[in-house]
Amino acid sequence: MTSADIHSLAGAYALDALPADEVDDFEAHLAQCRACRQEVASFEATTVRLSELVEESPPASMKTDVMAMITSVRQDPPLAVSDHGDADGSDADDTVSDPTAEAASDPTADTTADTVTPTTTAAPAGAATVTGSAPQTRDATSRGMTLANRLGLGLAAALMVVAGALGLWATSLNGQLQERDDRAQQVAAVLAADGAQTIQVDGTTLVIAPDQQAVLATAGLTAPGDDEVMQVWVIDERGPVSAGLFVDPSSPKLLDVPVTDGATVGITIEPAGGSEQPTSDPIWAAEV
Amino acid sequence: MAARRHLHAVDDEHMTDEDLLVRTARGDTAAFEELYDRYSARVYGLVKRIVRDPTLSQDATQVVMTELWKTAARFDPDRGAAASWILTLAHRRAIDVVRREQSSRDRIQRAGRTQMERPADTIAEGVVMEDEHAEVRAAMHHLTELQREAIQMAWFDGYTYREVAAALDVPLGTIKTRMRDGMIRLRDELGVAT
Repeated sequence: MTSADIHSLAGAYALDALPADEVDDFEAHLAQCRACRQEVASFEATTVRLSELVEESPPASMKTDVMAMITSVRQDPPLAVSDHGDADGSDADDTVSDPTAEAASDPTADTTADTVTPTTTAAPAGAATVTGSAPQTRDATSRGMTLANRLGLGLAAALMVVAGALGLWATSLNGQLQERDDRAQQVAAVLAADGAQTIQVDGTTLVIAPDQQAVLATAGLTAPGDDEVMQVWVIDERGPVSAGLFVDPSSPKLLDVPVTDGATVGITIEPAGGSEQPTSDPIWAAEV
Repeated sequence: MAARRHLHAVDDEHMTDEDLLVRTARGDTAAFEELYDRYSARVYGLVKRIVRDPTLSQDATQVVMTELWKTAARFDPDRGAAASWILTLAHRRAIDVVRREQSSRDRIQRAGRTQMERPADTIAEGVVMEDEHAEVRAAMHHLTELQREAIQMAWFDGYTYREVAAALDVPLGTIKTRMRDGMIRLRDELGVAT
């Protein structure tokens, strides 16, 4: 890519419209090009103004939830560079105005056992591997938790991210957790279980804990009519067994029966109240 | 300088966004609360504009706000404005949600449909009709149609420039330069100082 070409990406970069594979190249260029840095900063200030056009207040309850959540989220330590003043020319290897770049690459950021205190300077990202006893993301950890680790969030936030990954209900889960709702806790236990298996088909997600408890969450499926309902089935060699009605698709469904290895989980549309046995072809199914 | 401390909770509402973010990084929940009050509507509005689904948008907004608390120390006031930092974070998380929800192919097809269904200047005509936004809407009207569409699809719909090019059936190089030219025009119309 020629130099002229890469300058032209400043607009797309500030609009967050560069594909991931081009962001690194452009940021490497930014680190060396003061003109582009200034241009990007001015464009970013412009997108802030643009965003005023779509302002909308979130539900008031969100503030309470967020203020409660942060009490259990450990903050990242300060960066070492912050006291060096603003002398220019020292920026060749700085990351450039990317709030997420370091969080994504620093595996120590979210471990509660991390011994870096807030008053010390930040350890270089590479130093993380030296501490042999630091908790590592285990292979068995569910995909959702891995995502949360990547984002560098604590446990409460991790649950939120898992919920987000399922495309659903983080707000309601959080509320239910606060009320110590048994069912929500069971759901949370499945999602956070070490070795949980995640199967995603067409935007609907099935998470199965090693104890065979399972949670189903859908982003798009609904029952077509008032007199119909979605019913979940676990189908093994003995045939289909009802795992309960999926009445409120905006909340996750804790399956009523365990999901064994090799079983199929399916959803059918049934008359209101559900059926003993499925009476129609599944609208969604996944093999475990 | 490092050891000097401000009197606590003096008047957070008179502090700059940058000051608040720096204090948030030190664990100041009052500063964070003030930031929440200043930014939650812009973050939620932007996320919801991109994600569309209200429940998913609320989830993503909570993640953004929590991440703001967690990563505040990574903000460097010498490198840019707090507002840009926060809204870029919001934009990225909104796109993360969208990308999980649907394949890129669906999105391009939908983009094509959206463009047909929706007049290009929906935003410029005013999703929000308050006078305080008149200046921004007026600035949008100074763009060429292609500049305006490209910027709207990138910032308000969360498309990459490649997706925009595909949806509008315009060469990649053209979209890149239209985005940049359009941003220069908008910036100058709005008199954005840096």
